[in-house]
Amino acid sequence: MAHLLNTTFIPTPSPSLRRHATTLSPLTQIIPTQKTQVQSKIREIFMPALSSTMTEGKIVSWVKSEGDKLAKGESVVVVESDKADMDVETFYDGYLAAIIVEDGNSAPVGSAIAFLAETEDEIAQAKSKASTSSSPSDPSSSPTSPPVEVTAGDSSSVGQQVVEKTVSKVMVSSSHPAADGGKRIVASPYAKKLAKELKVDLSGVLGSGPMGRIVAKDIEAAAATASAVVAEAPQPGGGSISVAKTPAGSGIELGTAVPFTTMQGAVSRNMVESLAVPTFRVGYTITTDALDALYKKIKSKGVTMTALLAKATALALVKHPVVNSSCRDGKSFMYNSSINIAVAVAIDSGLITPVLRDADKVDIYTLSRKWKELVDKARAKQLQPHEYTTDRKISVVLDWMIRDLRGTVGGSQSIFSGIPHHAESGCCWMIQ
Amino acid sequence: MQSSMSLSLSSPSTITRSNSTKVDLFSTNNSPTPRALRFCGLRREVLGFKSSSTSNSTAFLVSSKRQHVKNVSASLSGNGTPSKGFDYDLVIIGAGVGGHGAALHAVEKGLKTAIIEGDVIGGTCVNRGCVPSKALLAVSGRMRELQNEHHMKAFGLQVAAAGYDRQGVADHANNLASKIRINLTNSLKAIGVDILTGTGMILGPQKVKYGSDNIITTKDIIIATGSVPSVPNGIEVDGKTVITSDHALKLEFVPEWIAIVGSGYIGLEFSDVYTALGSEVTFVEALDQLMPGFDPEIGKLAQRVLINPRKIDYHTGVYASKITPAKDGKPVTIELIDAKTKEPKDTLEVDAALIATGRAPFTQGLGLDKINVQTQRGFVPVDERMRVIDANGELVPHLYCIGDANGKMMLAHAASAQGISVVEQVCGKDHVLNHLSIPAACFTHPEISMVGLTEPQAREKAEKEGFEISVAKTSFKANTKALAENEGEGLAKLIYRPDSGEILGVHIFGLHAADLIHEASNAIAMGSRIQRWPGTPFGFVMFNPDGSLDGNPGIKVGEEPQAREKAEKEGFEISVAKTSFKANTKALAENEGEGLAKLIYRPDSGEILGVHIFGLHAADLIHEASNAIAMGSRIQDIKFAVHAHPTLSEVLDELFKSAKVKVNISSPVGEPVAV
Repeated sequence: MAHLLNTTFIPTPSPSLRRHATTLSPLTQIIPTQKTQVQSKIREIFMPALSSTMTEGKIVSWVKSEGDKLAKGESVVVVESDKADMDVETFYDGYLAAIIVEDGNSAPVGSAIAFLAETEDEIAQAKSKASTSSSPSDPSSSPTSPPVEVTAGDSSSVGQQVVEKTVSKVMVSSSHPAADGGKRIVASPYAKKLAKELKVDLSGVLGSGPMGRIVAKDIEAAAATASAVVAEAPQPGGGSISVAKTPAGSGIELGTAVPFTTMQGAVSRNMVESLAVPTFRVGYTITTDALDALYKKIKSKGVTMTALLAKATALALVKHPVVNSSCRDGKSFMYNSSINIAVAVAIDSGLITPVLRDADKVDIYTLSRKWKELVDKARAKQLQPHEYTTDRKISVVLDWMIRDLRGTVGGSQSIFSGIPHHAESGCCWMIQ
Repeated sequence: MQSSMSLSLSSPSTITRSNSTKVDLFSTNNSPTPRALRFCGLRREVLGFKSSSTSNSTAFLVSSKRQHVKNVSASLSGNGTPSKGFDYDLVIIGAGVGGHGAALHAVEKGLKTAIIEGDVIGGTCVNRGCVPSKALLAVSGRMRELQNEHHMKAFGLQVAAAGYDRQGVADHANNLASKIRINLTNSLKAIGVDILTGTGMILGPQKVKYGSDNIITTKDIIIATGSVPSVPNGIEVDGKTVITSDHALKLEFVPEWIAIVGSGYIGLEFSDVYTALGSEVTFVEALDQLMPGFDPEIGKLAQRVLINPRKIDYHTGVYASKITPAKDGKPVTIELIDAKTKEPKDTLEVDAALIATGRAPFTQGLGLDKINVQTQRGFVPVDERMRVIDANGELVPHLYCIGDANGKMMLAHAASAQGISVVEQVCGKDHVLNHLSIPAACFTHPEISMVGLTEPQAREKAEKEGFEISVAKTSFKANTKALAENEGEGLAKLIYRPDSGEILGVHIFGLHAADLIHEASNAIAMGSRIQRWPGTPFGFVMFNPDGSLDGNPGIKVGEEPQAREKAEKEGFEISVAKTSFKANTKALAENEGEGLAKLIYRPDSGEILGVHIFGLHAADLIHEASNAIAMGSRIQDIKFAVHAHPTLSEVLDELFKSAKVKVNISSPVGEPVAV
């Protein structure tokens, strides 16, 4: 039984009148180092499996603190399972040397949540182990790595346990009206919580709340901006922001599976769905001198190339409704009643496609303003469902960095146009 | 309905001996039985009319809710005739919950009673405390449910975004307070208590002045002047951006960001209200952890549920040394200093600050100096029988002090229980209130409740007196009803002596905790041992999984026809008492006033034959009754059990208190303990 639980600690329910602690023999993994032959007794405390269905446990609270002496049978930590909160006892005497998973955080069953040193002298050694196996510091991120066997005296074998979340910081040179000349940062309670969660440095955020205080939406905007790929977007808060992008790949542990976020899951589903749509690709070169000239003329009025292209696409669709049609049942064309243009916006580790509705009817200025609003909302993750879903839409991907792009057709779309950019001679774009 | 009757509040001219000036207040009908009323944790009890004690079944039909009631002539006979040489037997200074409870019990005991009120009837609880706050919390609870999309989805429900109308919410609180105040006033008048308007002052032994120059003599005096919000030095309260609970309950504005100074009951309840209405909250707590008054384990869990996931942050171990209201476009500023070193730590800039650092006794100008009584930090010193102690440590004859003014336990229902205890003594029956059996509740979502000692207190006591203690815990996560409601977050904790089974304390955090606690508080009051607790030990705190859900037809123990049959066969009389949920503050705050509780008992012995409840949370409330039957408790004993205010369980409190038992022999299971 204890082997099944795979832990130093065995769970015992709180001493209630109803339940009685089941006696389980403990199991600890002590791996003597083969290199040094020194058998140092630093044990890992694992997240116990408190029920057959439990895959992950949350640390409710550490009953003991680092450095506390533990006696066999003492409660050390309270773990929340899917059924109840359980006190977990130690079956070894020793010292709680280092806590890896803090209160409020979760860890998969079997992963190390703390180190237990047998003697006081070994505390420091255990601590250094703990520090090399970094831990998540906020409750929202749960460690995903498998448990690592610790070989005492050989710290090089201790793997990087937890994927450190990429920390993006937005650096803004700003003065805070509410910050007493920059000495203090005034942020609302929720803003502080969000900042911790999204790992945004408050000192770099410009507050837009009453009296310049930082409020939740500033944090969201900052977090979105930090991870935004497109620098062209209007900057939240209007400040000059330089995006310090973490190079891709850093902080990612090679050889591990990192689960999709919800958004990435949705993107994946859509992509899989697109495989059911027969697709062909057509390339056609057009000269855009007139477009460039128009752009130059109205650029100062806040019109972007994105809006212009969306508008151009919409006007073309008015003339060629067959392009804005779809075949759902395999028997008939469904001609869409309205022209809705979806344009992809890159956001933190994914993308979303806000929809410009009735792009043929709306004038170019309004369309530009609408687009700006949608992009801001998308980056702040505040888009409402009706703003990015529609039954019928045409998708466009715009990114000035990309030279060639072949999109895929989603289930509810009929065309997907990619618009590669040619630097010298204006645009060349394709309807694919 | 009572609440719609117009009332003329008493003016000084009403101190005529006769109460007939009040006659026009009540419509009359043929029913001799008044509608059951309950005010602010107390019962309205009138000699001889609460229950129909008869074997004639028609008598059971009288308490229909729609009847306009009150027989004035009956009420006139309520207030007694004073002892020789005195204007009154008992004068109570302060018509809050404590004074009200004492007055009702005094009249029941045949004392000629007057109550002096310098402000409004109902005191803090009704006007600026429990009652309006429960109305706000009822709104908060519903907002939370509606905002919890995930929760709703789990039920398969879809709701559009919930919004609120601030004025509408404020009106609900205000209306509830006026309704309860009117009910309370009526209840006093109905039994003929003289309401004397003006500030009361003690002139000397057995002599009281009220208003500018009205002097009355009385055999006994009870001080029940209550308390006011305490505001530490350095804090400027402007009533708009820096406020106390008095202002906050009016809900004149909902700030985007409010700092709450103090994280006790009051602060915690307001954080629940404000965050539900969209505010962000910052707690400022002088002690090292939040919710210092609660059992640490409960506090920890409560923090995990009530603080951490909400838009709340906190500063602990700091004093707010200076708070300046918002002015000239500047925000409210709060200067924080370290609680120990007194060094400046931080400055907060917020939209509003609520001072919830506790309450200070309101005892100034009472004339205590004239009788050589020195207050301690404003509190009137009393012994365990609420008798006032003077500067020399001597008891002052015929002078008692109850409620917040004595500081023993600053809870509305504790004040009322103390008042009842004093009246018992004044009538010649020694009575010591066991404060450890008085439950307390914090009406957050979910609720927190407790009775008796916290675990650290129990451990300290155990060490000093040399006994062992044990702690049992159960989680709401394993409770069928809690899971059915998707409200599995909760913990019930029992602290007891394993050698004797004595219950030392019970703490509950979770759905309906404020009602669930009464099984425990009754058990402590009756001296029950855990091994005598009916059913599975500690099963009491769990929702009855087989019980009907709220609003479903009632829960019952022992049916009336069966009781009648049995009574006829065995040749004893039975009586029936009923109370309505309509007068219950908590039910009204939740706008769920439909409900009835019914008690069938033997008037000769006080034996409980059956209890039936229909109404909000009936399935939880019934356990108090079923335990009483299982333990063989008699009505004359259980009626002294104290119920937290304002809870639904007060319906049962009123029910037991309204029963008329002919014998007065109590058979306590255990000895009351003085605290």
